[in-house]
Amino acid sequence: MKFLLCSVLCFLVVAPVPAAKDSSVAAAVRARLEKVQKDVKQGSESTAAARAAQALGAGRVHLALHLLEGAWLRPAAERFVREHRDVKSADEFQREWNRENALLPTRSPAGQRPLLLAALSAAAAARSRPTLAGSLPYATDIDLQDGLYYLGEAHALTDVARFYDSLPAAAAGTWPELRSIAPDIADLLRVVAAMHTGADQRSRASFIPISTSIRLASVLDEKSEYAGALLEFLLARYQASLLVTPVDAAAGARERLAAITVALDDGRDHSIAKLFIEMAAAHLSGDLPPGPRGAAAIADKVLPAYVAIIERERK
Amino acid sequence: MNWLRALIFLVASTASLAAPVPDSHVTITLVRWPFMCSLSDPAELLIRDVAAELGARVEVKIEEYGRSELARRSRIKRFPVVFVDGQLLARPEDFGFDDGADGQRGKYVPWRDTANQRRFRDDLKAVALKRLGGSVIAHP
Repeated sequence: MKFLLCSVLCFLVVAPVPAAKDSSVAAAVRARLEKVQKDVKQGSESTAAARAAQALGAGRVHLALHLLEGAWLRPAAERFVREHRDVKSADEFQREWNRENALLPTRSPAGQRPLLLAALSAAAAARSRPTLAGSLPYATDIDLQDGLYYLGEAHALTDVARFYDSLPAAAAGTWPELRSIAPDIADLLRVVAAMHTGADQRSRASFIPISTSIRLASVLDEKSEYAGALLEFLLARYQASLLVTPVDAAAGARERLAAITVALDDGRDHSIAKLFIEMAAAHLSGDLPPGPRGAAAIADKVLPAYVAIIERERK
Repeated sequence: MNWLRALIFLVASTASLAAPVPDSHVTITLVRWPFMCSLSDPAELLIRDVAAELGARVEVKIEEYGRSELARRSRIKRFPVVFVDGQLLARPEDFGFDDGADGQRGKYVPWRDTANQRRFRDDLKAVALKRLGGSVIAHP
C-alpha cells in the first residue's frame, strides 16, 4: 500500500496536469503571453516565452506565472522606446518621466490572494520605482535613448505588477505566517560572495542574477514585503545551488520531492513552494534546463529552506 | 605672545591630523545601478566578501544610482562608485563604464577578468585595513 501511495505521489509530482479546460488564471496568463509573444523576436525572452507556453500546456500555471515576466520586460521596454521616439531632449524626457512617476502604484492591493501572486507583484513593483529613479539621471547625464529604455522598463515592471494583482485567484488556504528573513538573506549573501571570489572566470557571470535576486530579497524585506522577499530569497538559493549540485544528486530527487509535497499538504497557501515543485517537475521531464540536477537542487536546498523558514515563523 | 600661542595651536593641530588614529569601524559605500548590472553586481559581491573577511568592524552601504549624496558631492554621474569612509576608491571608468571613450583604460578593465576583479578586491581590502589601522586614505 505504501509503495502504491508513493508511486502515485511520484507520478503526480512530475506528471503534467492535462490542460483540458483553462482555469481563469491560466486563461489570463495565456492571453497575456500571446500579446507578449508578438513583441518577442529572439534571444532569452523568446526562450522564456516558449517555456512559459510549454509550462501552461503542461498545466504548470505557477511556473508559467514566474516565467512570464522574463519574456515580458525587454520587448515591452523596447516597444516603449519605439513609441516614444519623438522624445529628443532632456525637457521632453522629463515630461515623460513625470507622467510615469505619477502612474506608479503606491501600495499593493489589499485582500487575500495566493501568496505567489502577492510575491510576484511585490517583486516587480519594488524594481519599478528605483528603475524609474535611475532612468532620469541616465537620460540626462549618460544617454537619452538608454534612459528612455530604462523608463520603459520601469513602465513594464508596473504593468507586470498590475497584471499579477488583476488575476482572478483566491488564496488556496491561509497564508503561512511570514516575518523578516534578513538573517537568512545575509547568510546567503555571505556564502554567495565567497563562492564568487573562488569561482573561475567562466562561471562568474552566473553570479550576477543571483546577486540581483539577493538584493531584491533584501529590498523587499526592508519594505516588510515578506512574501516577495521569501520568493526572491528562494530563487537566489535555487540559482546558487545549481552551481554546486552534482549530476548524481538527481538520483532519488523524485521521491524526495514527493515526500515534501505531502508534508506541505496542510491547508495553508504554499503557492510559493508550488512554483518550485512545478519547476522541479519541469526539470525532471526535461522541459527546463539543467534537467534532473535542477530538481535535486530544489528538493535538497530550496524546499528545505522554505519549510525551515515557515516552520520557524510558526513557533 | 599671541603669535606663539597660534604657532603652538597650529603645530598641535597638524600633528593630530597626521597621527594615525585607529578607527574601530570602516564604511564601504557602493553606488550601483539598482538591480541587475554586469558592473555593479560583481563589485557588490567582492565588497561583501571583503567585509565578511574583515568582520563586524566593516559596514557595507549600498546606495542607488541617482540617489547618492556621496556621488553627487564627488560629481560622479555614472556607476559603480566605491567609497571607503567617504573617500573615493574606484570610479565608473575604473570598471569600464564608457571604456575607451576618453582613450583611458580603467584600473580594473576588462572588469569580467578574474585577475582584475581580484585586483579590486585586494585594493579594497588594503585600504580598509589601512583605515582600520588608522592611516588616512589618500585621494586618488
